[in-house]
Amino acid sequence: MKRKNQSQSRKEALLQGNEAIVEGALRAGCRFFAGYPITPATEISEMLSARLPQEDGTFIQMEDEIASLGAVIGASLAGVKAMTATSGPGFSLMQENLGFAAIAEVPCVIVNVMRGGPSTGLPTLPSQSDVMQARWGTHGDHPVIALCASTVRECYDITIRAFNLSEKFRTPVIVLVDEVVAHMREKIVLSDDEQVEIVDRIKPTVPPEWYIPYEDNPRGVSGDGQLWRGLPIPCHRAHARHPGLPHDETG
Amino acid sequence: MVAYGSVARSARRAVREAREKGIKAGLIKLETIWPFPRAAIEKILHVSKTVIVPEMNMGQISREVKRVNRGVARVVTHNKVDGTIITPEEILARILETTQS
Repeated sequence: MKRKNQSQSRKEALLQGNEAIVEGALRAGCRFFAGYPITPATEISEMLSARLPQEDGTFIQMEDEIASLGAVIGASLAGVKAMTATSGPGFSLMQENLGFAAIAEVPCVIVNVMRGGPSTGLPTLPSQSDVMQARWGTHGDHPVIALCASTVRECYDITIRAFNLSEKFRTPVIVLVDEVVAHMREKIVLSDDEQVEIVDRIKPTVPPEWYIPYEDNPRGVSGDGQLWRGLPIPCHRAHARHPGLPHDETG
Repeated sequence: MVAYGSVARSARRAVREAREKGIKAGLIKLETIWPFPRAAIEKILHVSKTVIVPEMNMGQISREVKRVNRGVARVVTHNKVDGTIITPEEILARILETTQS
């Protein structure tokens, strides 16, 4: 029997952690996914391959995890919110491009559903062994943001928060999930009416020839906590360099 | 207790059972792992005798806890890497073991 006060957009579901991550990503505005399937993160790729085309997004299955994060970085620089999902062995392959995303200040979200390692390790048994890899996996000193979920609801919330933090601080954000949380089913209530804070990147307002990729934005670094300068949006035909070298405001 | 991910769920249950036994126990569940929430952890280190860090690895966050601890509290690790989850019973046993010793 339908309750009277139940709104149409309210959706009760029995979801896996991986499925909640997909819901969270789409709610946060993710419109690009490139990945290579790996247990226990396969469900994320599988669901997004069906859902993204419906949301006017793009799904690509790449040849490996190195290329996956490369495609995600490219998509993010072209102006869409992008993510990838993997597990420990794939995360090792992503470290090179993770460092690039850190120095080139590219917002992107990397979901790492942790399984036992090292190498092929224990597929697919739970572990929390990629905590230090998330911090120090790539070479060089760099800031990093890593979040960890312990319930299915948190998978949803933390994925949204990961996108917001990455757009706000212009940095890759890593979502660490244990295999048991990713594959566990729990009841979750999702509602479109729910107030969810979504942070979007500042769009460049200048003509393309005046565009400076790493320019300080008027809001400044402090103030409301925005560390943000404009990144290109689709159809803004500006030429920008995003090298892996330390850069000035022109890139 | 400092825990994160699925282990935090077992830890919560263990804390509840420990309190029923009269042990003053508490849990900090980490949602943000990096940057390490140093201020939050330091606060509990100063009011705790012992901090247990259960995790399904050989001790990655426990090292960070020890780093910010600087001799204030006793940091006890509880590690498991055989691909099985850490159960509330295990953590409770560790709580009882550390409170009795």
